[in-house]
Parts: sequence; structure tokens; C-alpha cells
Amino acid sequence: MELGVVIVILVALGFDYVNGFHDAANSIATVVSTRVLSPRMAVAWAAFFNFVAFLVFGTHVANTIAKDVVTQDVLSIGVVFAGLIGAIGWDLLTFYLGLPTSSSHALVGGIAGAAVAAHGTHVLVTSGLRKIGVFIVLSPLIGLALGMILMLIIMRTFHRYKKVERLNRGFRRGQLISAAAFSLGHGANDAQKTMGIILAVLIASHHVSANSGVPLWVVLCAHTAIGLGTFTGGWRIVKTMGSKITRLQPVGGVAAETAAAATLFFTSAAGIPVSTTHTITGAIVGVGATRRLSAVRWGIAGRVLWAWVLTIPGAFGLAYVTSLLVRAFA
Amino acid sequence: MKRDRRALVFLIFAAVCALLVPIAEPGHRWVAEVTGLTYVVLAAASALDAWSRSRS
Repeated sequence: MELGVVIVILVALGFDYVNGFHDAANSIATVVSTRVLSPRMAVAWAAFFNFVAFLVFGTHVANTIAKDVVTQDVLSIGVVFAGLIGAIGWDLLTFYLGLPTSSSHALVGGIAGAAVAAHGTHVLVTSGLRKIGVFIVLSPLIGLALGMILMLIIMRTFHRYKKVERLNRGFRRGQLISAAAFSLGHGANDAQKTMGIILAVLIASHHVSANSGVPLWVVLCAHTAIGLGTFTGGWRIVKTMGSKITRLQPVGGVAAETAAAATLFFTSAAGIPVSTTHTITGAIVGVGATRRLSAVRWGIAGRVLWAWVLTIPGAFGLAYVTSLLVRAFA
Repeated sequence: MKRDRRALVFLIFAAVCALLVPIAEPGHRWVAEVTGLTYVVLAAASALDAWSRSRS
């Protein structure tokens, strides 16, 4: 395997690691903020389920990333490298600012920006981008509605229950399962994006055929990288997700994580790359809105919304410039 | 009666879903339709809840 291919694969795995690091907050924020697990135990729990996700889900999302963002023939090693640098740059910038933006959309924006800089706008696959674009909006809305409905069902079921302490203990245990389910969905959807990138590089460098599936070693490497990233996870975003948007009790954590996990299971099975960040944020807002709208801190939610809107253009711009630099120096 | 802001927000979400229906891929249109319909139901439930609270 050529040195260029190896470098791009390592950068892709680095992106996966940063993704796990950046999105660790999504998996563990509610478990930590409701004090069900200590931060150290929570990251270990999430990292384990991130890793085992490859046993449960297929690789539909990987194929969407490899084949439905830009036309496959323009995905050279230089384009993928520039796209990854744009996405990682955007992720690190938003991580520094403490904003829970989407690594997935940074990746889509990065690959699109690098390919457009090298070949022009005609290389964009509009149907694939339309699918991704529609679910940028739909995934938090689905998470919000499901989070609210689940919370209402739980409240309706248990509102006459007198032993509050016992009930809380039950939901604390339940949160272990819902957090595991969410981590499974996170591992499935997010690790697959890196697999898609590595698959594209392997196809471009003729190491596998264009119709080939994702090799097992790629699947294992991607899940290991995201699991390690989660294990060493960041804490700035945990704070925003776990307490700044709305305060959560164990019961709310169960509802939010279950709603987000259900959304991720559906989209992973359907091959749609969605943002785990968008989904869990929507679900947390949904749970908060069962009390009243003022329970949600809309100022913070609005700041998060702006970060979402800017993610694809931001990563696109960074990757565009990187692609021009790569072409100038290559 | 006090205006129910939550119902209004849910109706805006339902309108957003309706706008996404023609843009979505044919195979995924049902997702936007079902989500939009869910928000209409949630808006109605929220408005009824606010109405019953204002009466009691």
C-alpha cells in the first residue's frame, strides 16, 4: 500500500478518534449530569458500546458517504485528505468554543469543499446531498418529538406511583441501558462515516473494486478509533449538553437517550448519515418541553442552532482552501 | 385565555416538515409526513392542555 494511502487512512482514523472525543458528551452527558455513573465509568461504558456497534449494524451509511456526496471518480487521495483536514479543523474549532456541532456534517462539508475546489460544482451528487440535507433538519425534530412522547408516556404511567425514591433508582438503572443503546447508535452511525471515507480511498487507489463492500479490517479500525476517542472524551461539551440546555432527572435521561437511540437505529439501518449531536440535543429539548417551554434555555439552544447552520459551510470553506494548497504544493 | 406558545412552536415544526416533503427522496417522504403529523397532534394536545389549565 502506498505511503499516501496509509497517511490518508491514518488521518481518517484520526478524524474518527476526534469524533469520538468530540461526541463523547452526547453519549454520556445525561448519565453524568444525573450522577448515575462517575465520569470515568461513563466514558468506559460508552466506549465499549461504541466499539461493539459493528456487530449489530450493517455498513449502509459508509456506502452513502463513499458514493453519494461527490461522484466517486473525483475522490482522489488529495481530495479526501483536504476534506478530512477541513472537517477536523472545524471540529477542533467548535470543540475549543464548546459548541456541540456535528462531526458528520463537517465531514460531508469537507469532502464536498475539497472536491469542488479540485473539480468544480458539477461533481456534487445532488440526490445524496438532498437526502443528507433533509435529515439535517429532520433528525433533531424526530428526536424532539420522540423524546417528548416518551416522557409523556412515562409521566402518564407512573404519575400515581408513591415510592418516588424507588422509582428514581429504577430510572437510574434504566439509564444505563438507554445510554448503552445511544452509544450503540452513535458507534454505528458515526464510525461508518470514517469507514466510508477509507472505502473511497481504497477504491480510488484500486485496492478494492468500486462495487466492493467495506473490508473487515476497516470496520474494526474505525470502531476502535471512535471507541478510544470516546474513552478519552472531552468535557467542555458535556457541560453544555448535560445541564445548560435543560436540567435533567434520571427519568428525563432515559426518555432522551431512548428517543435518540431509536432515531439513530432507524437512520443507520436506512443508510442515512445523521448527526448524533443533533438527535440527542433535539431529544433533550423535547424532554424539557414537557414541563414548559421556558424549561429549555433557548439562548443556548439558539447558539447551538447557529453552529449547526455554519458547520457545512465552515468545513466546506476550510477544505476548499486546504484542497487549493494541496494542489499548489503537490 | 393565555396564548399557548408550545402549540405554536409545534405548528411551526409541522410546517417545516411539510416543506421538507417535496424536497425529500421519494423513499423517505413518509418520514417527513409522519413527523409533521406527529407535531400537529402534539400541538393540538398542548393547546388542549393549556385550555384545560386556564379553566381550572
